[in-house]
Amino acid sequence: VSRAVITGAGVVSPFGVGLWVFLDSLAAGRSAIAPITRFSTEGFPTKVAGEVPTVDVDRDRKVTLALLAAREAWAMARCGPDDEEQAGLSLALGLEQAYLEDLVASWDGHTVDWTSRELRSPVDRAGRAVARDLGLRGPVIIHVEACAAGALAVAHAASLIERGAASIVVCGGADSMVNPLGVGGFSRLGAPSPRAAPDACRPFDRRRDGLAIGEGAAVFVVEHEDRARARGVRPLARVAGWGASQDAYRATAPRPDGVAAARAIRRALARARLERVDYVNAHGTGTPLGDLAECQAIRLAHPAPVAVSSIKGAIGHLMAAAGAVEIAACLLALGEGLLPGTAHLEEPDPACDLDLVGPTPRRADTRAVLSTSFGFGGQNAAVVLTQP
Amino acid sequence: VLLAGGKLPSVFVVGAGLVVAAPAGLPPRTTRLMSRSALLAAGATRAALADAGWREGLEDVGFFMGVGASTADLEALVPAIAQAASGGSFLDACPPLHTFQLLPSFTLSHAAILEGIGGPTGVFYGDAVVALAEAIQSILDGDCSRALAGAADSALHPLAERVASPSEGAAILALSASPQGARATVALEAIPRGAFIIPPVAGALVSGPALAWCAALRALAEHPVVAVPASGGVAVFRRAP
Repeated sequence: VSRAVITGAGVVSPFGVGLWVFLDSLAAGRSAIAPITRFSTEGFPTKVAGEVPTVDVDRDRKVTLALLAAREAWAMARCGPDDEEQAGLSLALGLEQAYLEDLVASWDGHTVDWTSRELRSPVDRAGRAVARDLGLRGPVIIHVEACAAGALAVAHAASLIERGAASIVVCGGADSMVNPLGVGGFSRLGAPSPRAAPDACRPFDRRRDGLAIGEGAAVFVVEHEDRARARGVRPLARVAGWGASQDAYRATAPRPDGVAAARAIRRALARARLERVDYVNAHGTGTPLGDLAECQAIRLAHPAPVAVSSIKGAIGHLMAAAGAVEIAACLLALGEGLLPGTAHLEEPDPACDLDLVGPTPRRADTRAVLSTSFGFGGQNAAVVLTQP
Repeated sequence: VLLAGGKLPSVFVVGAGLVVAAPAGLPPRTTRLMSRSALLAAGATRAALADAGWREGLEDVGFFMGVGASTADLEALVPAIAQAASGGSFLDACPPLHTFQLLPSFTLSHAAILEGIGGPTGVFYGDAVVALAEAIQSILDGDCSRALAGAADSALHPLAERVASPSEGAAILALSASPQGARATVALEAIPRGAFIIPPVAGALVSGPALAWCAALRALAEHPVVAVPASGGVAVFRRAP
């Protein structure tokens, strides 16, 4: 069994800044989808999103969100100078490789000034900022597996611990596409719900019609359990298993039979040496095709009945950060015995015949949980967490 | 460490694909979605599969790539940026396919979709060596018995031209747990603390190490061991038994 444990967690979500702001809001069954305030949505079919409130942003939201989450996780894990020396970083980053704010600022009236320093927007900008901010001196690894990246960054961290390549790793994801480029691009693809309502995203509901775009970050400190014990730090959870696969189907749609996604889940369960878990925190985007394919995958890989919910109805789809933030949501199930609800799930789709947790969180004795993430382009990831 | 003790785990190189220009013969319906990096990756992947003689069971083959920023199509955003800067209708000018072209992960996804490769996967910005390490680890962990590892990038876009020589290319190695048909064994040196340096700004440099891997395979004809250092570590190639 994996010896990698989570000893610190930090979250920035549409509920606000802080792990417990996030978990308390989930426990209360709140929803944070609201009209977009950051730019005018006039002419856009999408007018609501899960925006992070009251955060002072320097220039780039991904960097700011990542820094806030990383600082909280680092402090919670009570890390010090020795840890800075040793800690590596495995971070999932945003979907855009360049930032609209930079591009607009570099417009000279005729074309973009490609020589502008403002355009130095490498994908690893947030990762480097976190490493610099915390003083980390270990390897920096940047995951770019679209919406599966957050989960795979955490899995990679656990793998590095497990095979002895690192003793402590800061990992997670940060993303924001709540800007005209992100919202515009997704709108042109028809992915977001066209309804400008707080319940725009209704995972597993018969009436679901698309996702809600969100933004945020979750960062964890993952270390070897012996190391945590020696430091006197109490683990929050064990990263017991992880798995990945590729749909190899279409660029624009998930594989409908769920076979490839099921392979990722099976690999995660096998590595955790478990045949079943007590709860699945589903990817659950609220898209008609995606939710059906995921139900198929869960049925194939986990035939035993299991409680399933998605938090995307409450906070939206956080893209590259989604997997990491949803792993943080699993801490509510493992730590408090409370399964997060599926906001706005009022009329369950008969085709999604799983034990779906409705809008109200559910009490349950929870010892093992599974978090699934499925990225645009067919990237699948699954992570199993257990009690430490 | 490897040369002295020979204790580090290794897998076998059974094929290699290398391209330095976008290949022809890919389905037009798919290629219209693809960035230049994705086209290069697809060509190198197809060549590696052919070289390894892998035709069946590809749904279990792992696939790990280092990728660059995939900014080859940034110019397509210029009309939208102009609209945004002037307060006009951004949405009307927003390229509907930009997501497929700008997402770095699609450098791998398009190749996987074209060839039906469905095993464990990983995409790493600016780091071909991490991709090779994870492919080896995936085989050693038993997640798959065969994997592809490599990198693709294009430096023919406005951003990269400022920081690197204009160039592009992709290289993919076919790795196997079985020595059958092996050209070489490959082991990634255990990554010591501090061995990583932060990847360079120019994602176009990503494919460099992977291209060097292919050169290393050729060099094994004259030398029993070839080491390829890169920003992320050292890949050591040995002549196959």
